[in-house]
Amino acid sequence: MQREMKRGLIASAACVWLAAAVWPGGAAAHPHVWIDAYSEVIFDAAQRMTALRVSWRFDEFYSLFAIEGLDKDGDGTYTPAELQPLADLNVTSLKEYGYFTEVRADGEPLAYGPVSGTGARYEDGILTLAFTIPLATPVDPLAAEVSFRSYDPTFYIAIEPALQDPVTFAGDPPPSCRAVVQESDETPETLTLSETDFADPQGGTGGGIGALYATTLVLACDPAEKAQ
Amino acid sequence: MSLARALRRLLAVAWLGVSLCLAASAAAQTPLVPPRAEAPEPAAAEPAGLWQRGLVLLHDTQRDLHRQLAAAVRGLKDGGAAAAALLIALSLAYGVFHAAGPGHGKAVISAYLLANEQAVRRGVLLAFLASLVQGLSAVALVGVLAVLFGLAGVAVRDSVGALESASYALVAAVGLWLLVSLLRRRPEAGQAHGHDHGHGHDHGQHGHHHNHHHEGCGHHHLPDPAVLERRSRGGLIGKAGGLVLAVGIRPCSGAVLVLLFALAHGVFFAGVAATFAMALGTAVTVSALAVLTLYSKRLALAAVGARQAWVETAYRGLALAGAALLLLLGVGLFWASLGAEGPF
Repeated sequence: MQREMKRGLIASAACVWLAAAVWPGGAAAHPHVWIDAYSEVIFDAAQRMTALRVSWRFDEFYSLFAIEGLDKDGDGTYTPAELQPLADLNVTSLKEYGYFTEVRADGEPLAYGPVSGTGARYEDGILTLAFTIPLATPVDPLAAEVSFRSYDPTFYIAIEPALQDPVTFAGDPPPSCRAVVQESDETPETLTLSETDFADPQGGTGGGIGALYATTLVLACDPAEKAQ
Repeated sequence: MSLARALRRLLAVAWLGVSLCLAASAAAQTPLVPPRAEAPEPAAAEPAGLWQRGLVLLHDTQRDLHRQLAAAVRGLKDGGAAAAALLIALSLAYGVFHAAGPGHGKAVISAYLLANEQAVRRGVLLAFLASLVQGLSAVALVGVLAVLFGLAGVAVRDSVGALESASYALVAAVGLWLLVSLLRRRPEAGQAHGHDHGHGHDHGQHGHHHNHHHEGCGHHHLPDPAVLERRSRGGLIGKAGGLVLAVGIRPCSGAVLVLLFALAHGVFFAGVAATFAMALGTAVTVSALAVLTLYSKRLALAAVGARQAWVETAYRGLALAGAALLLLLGVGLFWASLGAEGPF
């Protein structure tokens, strides 16, 4: 009977899991819109990061959906001027969501100044939205580990770093810096369930399901550079 | 113990093991990082579990399929049967992977099955019907609003929001309905359905044809929900039908976007075909979860033991939990659906 009860407990746990596994998603918790994200990290003359300029390339389905009716002069092309109202609207609504973007220094989220350089273009069936997020205070990537990621907490939109050159630098970056994807240790030896890390290094920031899929990019620099 | 029965038990335990491992990893909620680029030194290296890898694979596959889908719709204009076959195949696969993420009524259907269903075949049927209605709903919405009335895509998608709210309200209603009838059923449940068929503990002997025993529910002398249902108000069709409607009237916004895209490219019927192929793919995934739910439920009941009173209590407990979950899900999702719209 004891074994029966044990099995009962296990089975009940499985049922609880079933409920839990499907619960946290919420309403629209899988992506219906896909974005290839390009990020440009902007540095000042003192080699501090001052801003992040993002360019989001939407998928073809959403692109066509979003531009409908915006060809005001009816010439069949969508000029940046015709798309400007859309870009402005998007960025204005994004403000409430922190522009779906986090920039952190040593894990602490940084504050932003007013967003600038908003624009959109439509080429080859792809809508691209671009805007610049200035940091309220510039940050020195040699003094603190700077990282950033973009995601939609509800995961209606999947924002992913572009497959090629997702990050570029502008201005005067410290020469030792490069942008890398914050990566799990992907060597096959570690691929066992027992080694699954139960501690969330982000401290469970409550970023919703989208945060689970968010790719973090890190400015990997050599701090020794500063000493020289 | 027959060999078949022993095998089935073994399989069940293995299934549960896998489920629990997955659950444990899911609970860990470690951030997912697609396998890309080289590992940096400064970032703390943490091992990736199978679960994460699986999710990443699902996610990447879905993205790639989605990308190819757009090309397939465009290619249909000058492509022949091969282009059409490609579109259908892609849509089907996309449906399977797309529904693998949370959503698509899987939670709702699982909760319903926990509350009110035993037969695997009916669970699968329910999943397929819900997905089919979901496909119909998307086609009807775009067909009427965009094709007949020529409304803009934005207006079409806004109406998806209204249908979503309606869907969740209906889910809550079905949950409440189940809960009320479960609570009302109590006094006569023991009597109304005798547990005296004298066929012993015919664990999993599916060949039985007791007219009120669904396939596979012969484990114990459970109060058969089907029989009770027919006696209670509304009947069996009522609740299952209500659930199918509740889940189905909410069209997948992905399908709506595909339909609008096809319409804009002058191949609306390709979009319709793609939508139904996607619905079929979705149904496959949702069915898999339905089977898992019913199997876990059956196992939980089997594990309680042979004592009639215990089984009834466990059965009732699970049913009440399922109905309550359905109600909670409906109310929670309805509430959330009234919230702010996303920026895009």
